[in-house]
Amino acid sequence: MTLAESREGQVLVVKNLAAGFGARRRLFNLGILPGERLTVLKSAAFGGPVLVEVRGTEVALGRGVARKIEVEDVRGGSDL
Amino acid sequence: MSEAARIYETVPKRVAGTMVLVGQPNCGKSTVFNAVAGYRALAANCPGTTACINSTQIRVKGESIELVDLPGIYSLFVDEPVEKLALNWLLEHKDAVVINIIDASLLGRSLELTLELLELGNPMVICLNMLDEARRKGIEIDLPKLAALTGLPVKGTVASKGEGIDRLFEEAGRSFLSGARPAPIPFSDDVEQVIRGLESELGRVPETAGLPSRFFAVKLLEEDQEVSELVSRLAPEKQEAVAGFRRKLAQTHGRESAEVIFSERHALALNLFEKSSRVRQRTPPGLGEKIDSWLMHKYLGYVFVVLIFFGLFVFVFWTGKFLETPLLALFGSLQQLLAGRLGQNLAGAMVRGLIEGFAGGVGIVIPYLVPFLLGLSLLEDVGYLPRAAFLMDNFMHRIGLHGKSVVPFVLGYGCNVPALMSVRTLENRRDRIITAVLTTMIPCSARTTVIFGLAAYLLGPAWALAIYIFNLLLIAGVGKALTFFMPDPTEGMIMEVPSYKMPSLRIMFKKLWFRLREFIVVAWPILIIGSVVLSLLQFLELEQYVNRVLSPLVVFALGLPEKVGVTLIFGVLRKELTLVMLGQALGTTDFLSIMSRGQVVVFTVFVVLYLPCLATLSVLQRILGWKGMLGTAALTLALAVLGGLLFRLVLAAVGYS
Repeated sequence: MTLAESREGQVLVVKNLAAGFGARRRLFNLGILPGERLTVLKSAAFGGPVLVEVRGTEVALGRGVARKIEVEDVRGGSDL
Repeated sequence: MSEAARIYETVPKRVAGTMVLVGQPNCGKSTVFNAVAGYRALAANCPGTTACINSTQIRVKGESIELVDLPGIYSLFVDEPVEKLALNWLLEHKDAVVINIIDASLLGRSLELTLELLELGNPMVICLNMLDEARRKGIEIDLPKLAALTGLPVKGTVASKGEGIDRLFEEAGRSFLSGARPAPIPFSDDVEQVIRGLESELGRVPETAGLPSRFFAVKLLEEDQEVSELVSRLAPEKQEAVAGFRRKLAQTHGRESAEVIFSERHALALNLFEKSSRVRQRTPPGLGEKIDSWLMHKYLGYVFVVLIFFGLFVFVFWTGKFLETPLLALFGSLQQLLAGRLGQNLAGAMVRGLIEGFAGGVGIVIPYLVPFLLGLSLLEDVGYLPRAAFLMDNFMHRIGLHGKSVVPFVLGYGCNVPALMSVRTLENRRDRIITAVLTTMIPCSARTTVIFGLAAYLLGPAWALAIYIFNLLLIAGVGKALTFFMPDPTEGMIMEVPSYKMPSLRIMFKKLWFRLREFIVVAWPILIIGSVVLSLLQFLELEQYVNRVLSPLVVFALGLPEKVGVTLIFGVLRKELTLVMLGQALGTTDFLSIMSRGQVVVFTVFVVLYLPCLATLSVLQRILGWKGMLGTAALTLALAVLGGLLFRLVLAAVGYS
């Protein structure tokens, strides 16, 4: 699934960043890399942006960017 | 000196050396700068507040040192114009002592920039700022351990309280005197091999380009465009070899070479962080999270945005009115007292102009400026602006922008000049152009005093609110229209949202003084000189020619008294001038005895919209070039005429006069 489909409170692991080079680099700078764990803090109404927390940094991501971040729910699988 | 002028202030070159504050956005560089320099750089709890280079002169260990505050950068990989500004500065100052400011509560992430800075080879000191915030988040950092791991001196500070600043600069002074250059921290062995191989392949190319050899090689592996272009220009025969090294790295790691370097650095930084810090189990939800559960609520959040800005509006109006009424009465009686004694001669006219200008500053502008700037500082320092950006992202998409543009917009209500500077933190050129044009339409504090001092004071707060709402709708419409001509879709928002900070009253008042001083030192003299000039023009009966030239616009299009024409000319210098001079031009402060209520509305609408002031135009010219600046000026003038005309017709139709 992608981050755009996430719900508030979900803990997710980043699988892949399908964004362009520039956007990917900005995500890297804020600590959003494959393998990192995100907590979804807010998901704005009306298809608005998503607010995630990664290692203490809170990042606001527009819906379009969130759609390009592939994630996996870790609660379902073994929590290593 | 104005904010605009101070930004490009140059320090006399008789200094022994340079120190530079480098760090990620919102780590508190400007707060450290202000702690040593007095409040001289605008600081706020919002990433990207500093979009320019500030400098000042300080004394460290008896030496005269130039201290430079660079805009915040996440990394040395250049994409946005502010990052380019910062990197170019660093590359041109290879002997400057780098003071790497780190938000201690975000140590892991921040060390990535530290690792990059090490590759530049400048003498360097680490400053762990906001240690109190880190402790609150349950992060305990072993400073000597971090120093041993990085090979750099490490000092802790709480810059907002001034703690640890002296020790930090003492340490930076030691680095300056010793000139010791730190060594980069190596990546894993196979990556190091590739870097060394590429370095020897490049030979003297980096030197020719004036860049450190290792830095040059790493940048090439990161697929940095500018450095790659340097190779194609200086040594086109080596391009093939460079591609070979990139392929080698990509093959062994199974991903692009740029990503290999990024991930290596990420892992290295986290490793340093984990070795030097202990994180206690997640602390219970702090006050910030509780506040956010309301302010950032799915639906209520939007209600709070409106309430917060409406609250600011009400606060400014009532405080301003409370102060303006007695002050105007005081100056009114003073003028009457003097009126009898001053003859109708040149000296008399000049004295009258002097008093008008002085009274306009104290009586009309300051009562609204002070509460407005206080309210704005509170929103900035608490950290509400990025949250407003988050909430408004959706609406901004409707006008072809995204949430990050909200920050320059809100800053624009203070002053358009720093707001335009912060436009440079946007990633995409098209977004920067549209945001810059729209920012100049935001009623800054000068225009705010006209709205409050004229429309709200004479006709009631509802009129001021109506003008603000009309202005927002107009901005949205223009945004939509510009998007039609520049349809490239924006990439969308990627923006850090900092945690809430308790604003310090001391710093808030210093900031108020910083912005107020700009009014007192720059604007007020212009108001006074403008008033004297107008008095002279009136005495010599020259102003009627100006008025006659402007009469087609003022009288025919807007339906205003011909006499107000001359105030519009002066308004381009400072928008407050229109208000201060109106009394002079009409010959009375009882505006309603000459202008109808409808005319007051039309005049205010026109003044708010037409031509940004000269300082704004000059910054706009630097951002958009002459064509963009003149185009924006023409656009605002056209909108002002149309807006004024619209209000005139609607008010006439509903019979408001």
